[in-house]
Amino acid sequence: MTSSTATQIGLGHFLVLSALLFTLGLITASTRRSAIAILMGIELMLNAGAINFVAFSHFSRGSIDGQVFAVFVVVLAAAEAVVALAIVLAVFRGFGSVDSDAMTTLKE
Amino acid sequence: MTFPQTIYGGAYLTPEGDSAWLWVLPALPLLGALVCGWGGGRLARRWGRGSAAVVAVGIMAATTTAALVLIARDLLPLPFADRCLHQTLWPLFSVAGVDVTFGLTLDSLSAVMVLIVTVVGTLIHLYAAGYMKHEPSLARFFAYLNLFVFAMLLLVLADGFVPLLFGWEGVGVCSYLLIGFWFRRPAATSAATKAFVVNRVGDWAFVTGICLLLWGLGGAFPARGVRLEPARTIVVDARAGAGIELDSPVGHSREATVRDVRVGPTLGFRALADQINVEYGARGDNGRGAHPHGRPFADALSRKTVAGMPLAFVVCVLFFLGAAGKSAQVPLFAWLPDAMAGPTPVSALIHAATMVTAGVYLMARLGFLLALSPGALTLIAVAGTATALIGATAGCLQWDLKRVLAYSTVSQLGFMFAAIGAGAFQAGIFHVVTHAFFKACLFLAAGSVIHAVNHIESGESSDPQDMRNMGGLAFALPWSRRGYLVACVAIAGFPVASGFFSKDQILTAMATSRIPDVPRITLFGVLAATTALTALYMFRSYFLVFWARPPRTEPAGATHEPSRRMTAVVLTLAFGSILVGPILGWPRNWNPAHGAPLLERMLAGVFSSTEGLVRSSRPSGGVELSVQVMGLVLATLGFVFARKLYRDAARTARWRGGMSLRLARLFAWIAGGWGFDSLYRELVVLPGRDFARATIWLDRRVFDPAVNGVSRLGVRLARIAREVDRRVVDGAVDGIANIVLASGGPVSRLQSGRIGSYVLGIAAGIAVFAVLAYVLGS
Repeated sequence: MTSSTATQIGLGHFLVLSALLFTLGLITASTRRSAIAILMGIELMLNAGAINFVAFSHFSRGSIDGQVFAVFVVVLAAAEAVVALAIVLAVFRGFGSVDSDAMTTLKE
Repeated sequence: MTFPQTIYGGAYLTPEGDSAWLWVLPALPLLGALVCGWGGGRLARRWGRGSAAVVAVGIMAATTTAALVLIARDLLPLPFADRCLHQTLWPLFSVAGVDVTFGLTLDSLSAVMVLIVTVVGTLIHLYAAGYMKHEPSLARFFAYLNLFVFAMLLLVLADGFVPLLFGWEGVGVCSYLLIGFWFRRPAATSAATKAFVVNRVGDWAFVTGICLLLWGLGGAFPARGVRLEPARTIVVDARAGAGIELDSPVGHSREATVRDVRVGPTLGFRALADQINVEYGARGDNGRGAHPHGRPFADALSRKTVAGMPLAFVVCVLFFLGAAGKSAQVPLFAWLPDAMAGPTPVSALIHAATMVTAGVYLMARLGFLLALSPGALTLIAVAGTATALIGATAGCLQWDLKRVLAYSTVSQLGFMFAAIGAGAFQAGIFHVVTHAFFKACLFLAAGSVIHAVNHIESGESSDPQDMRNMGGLAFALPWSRRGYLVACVAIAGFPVASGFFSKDQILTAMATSRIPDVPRITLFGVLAATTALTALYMFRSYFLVFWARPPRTEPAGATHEPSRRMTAVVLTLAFGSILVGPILGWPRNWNPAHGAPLLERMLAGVFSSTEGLVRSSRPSGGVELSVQVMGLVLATLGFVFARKLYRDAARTARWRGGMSLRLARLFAWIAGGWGFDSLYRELVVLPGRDFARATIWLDRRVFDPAVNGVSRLGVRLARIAREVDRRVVDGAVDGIANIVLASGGPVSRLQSGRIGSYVLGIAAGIAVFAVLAYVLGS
């Protein structure tokens, strides 16, 4: 990390990146109809959070708690994906599609 | 009442003995009744129609065997005086110092009754198996028969008033069921009802007597309320003239003769008899220096009065009324002639072995109590003699064969009660035994006759029991005729047959009884005349049924004896009605050693306490011989008259045709049981019907409108309630539901099911909270 007059990458960049990523995830999750796409949006939002953890850990010296949390988030995301994909699979068997608008039997 | 420092003795205490098997005797017929009653249909399906009869007869045979074994093995080896076996089954209740247990006692008296019930009962069952062969509800019939025998065995084995009442009422119920067995015939059901209702009158008197006796033993009748002292135990020396101290130290080794006796209000026969027979001991004093003698409890009871009359007299009369209901005595005999509506074997069972003997048995069982009231005994003698006369005269004028036999039973029961009233309890029981045989024989032979006549008359609408339709049956029914003839000879009282011996004893007892002279001689005369009438009505029926007309000319086999087995039963009973008399009652004056008859010796222990109280002295040989000769002459007279009047149907028709109207009217009145039936009709039945009509009117005019008014009011109230319900309650409920529905509609639209909008909602919410936190946090 040599001195550079060019813009130094700081905490703010990471937070902006994370916010962008979170927004993209939110938009994906709320607008897409495919269950798979919604899952992907959720993954994006989780990863945005994970980036925040790593960034805060990096810039607050002396602690790696945030990085440990990031690993937890990754594991959590994997587990969540397993369960969610299993549900999606079951839904596909039952409804013939993974369109979230088709799954309205509980409402009726 | 207390007897301080009193010393008691008693020569006539009930002997002690235990048996573990008495319960078998009533239990077996009960089992038979349950099997036939509940399993009858199943039995019939599996083993054929007659299986219930086989079960019932087998059970009766087993009961007879058990009775014979019990008596021969356990009772007979004991000396005469100790023949009493007892078994306590279970305690029933204990209230106000009165302990009541359910127990059975077999002493000589019970043993005699048990043997009659089982032996004669078995023969009748055997006959019934043939007689009722074509009856559709055979199992029901035999269930009732076995139940009847069960109730009767319970009655004669009971060790106290309470178990006896079970049997007593059981017998009443079974007679109702069996008289009304053919319940589709109105005559049968009304006869059954009549028997039951008349018996209820007797039962009321009986139960009232028990209650009065209990109060009398337990205390006095104060002006207000009745106080009952609890029963207590005293110690008695059972040797005559001895005595032991009441407050002898505890643990003192007691002599074998020392016994505990319950005194006060008790309901067991043993305790009752013992406390009445307890005497003051010879060595005692009553605490005041004087030497008491006599029987303290009997005297205390004799001194008590109720409503101005001696308590003992009232109680004995009430017990007699109870017995009169069961045993068809004046004034409660009217039911028995109607009871003929039942099947013939039932009549035989009721008249010979069970039911009607119950009253005589009760009187004999309570002999110790009756002995306290000579007045009651005289009353019983008068009622018995009147019954004998009424029954005999009415029997002479019946045309229905079974009604002749029924009135004959009434008359013979009168003889038994006359014997009881004269104080000759064993003579009464002896007549029960002989009567059981010859009356069962008569009824079963009559059953064979009716059976045969039914065969002839089938298709015609004539009464198969009317003797005017019979006659000339001697050759068609040779064996039934012989059985019937033997039984006639026995009941008429010709020597060598059993009736002679028992009637001789009764007449001798009446001649020598303690009843005052004038009534005694009158009663004796009436009874003697009745023996002549007995021969008259029996041989009248014999001639009318079997002779009177030339032999029938039906094709061979039309009229015939029933089955060989049924004829054998009739002949067995005929043999019994000859043999029983001489064996059990060989008269004293015929005996070179002048020993008492066998039955009298056997029963001496039971009636020991009444001896000397009611009989003035042993009859001398001269009295007995003259009574025997007189009995023979009178029976012959009756026979000769019967032969002259009824041997030939044509002659009978001639003298009956020449009868004056007044005489015919008198005959009709006598044939109707001396107007008792019409008297009861006027006094009880018609007022009862009028009362019923009045209640109907009251019901229709008063209660029905009242009830209808109440119900109409209810309807009106209900209408108001309905409106309130609709307007207020339903409105409130519906309103709440509408509010919920109305508010839920818009809200439910939020729940779109689209995941995207949910996610947006969550995000928006988070955003709002984040902004709020930021604004408020800074």
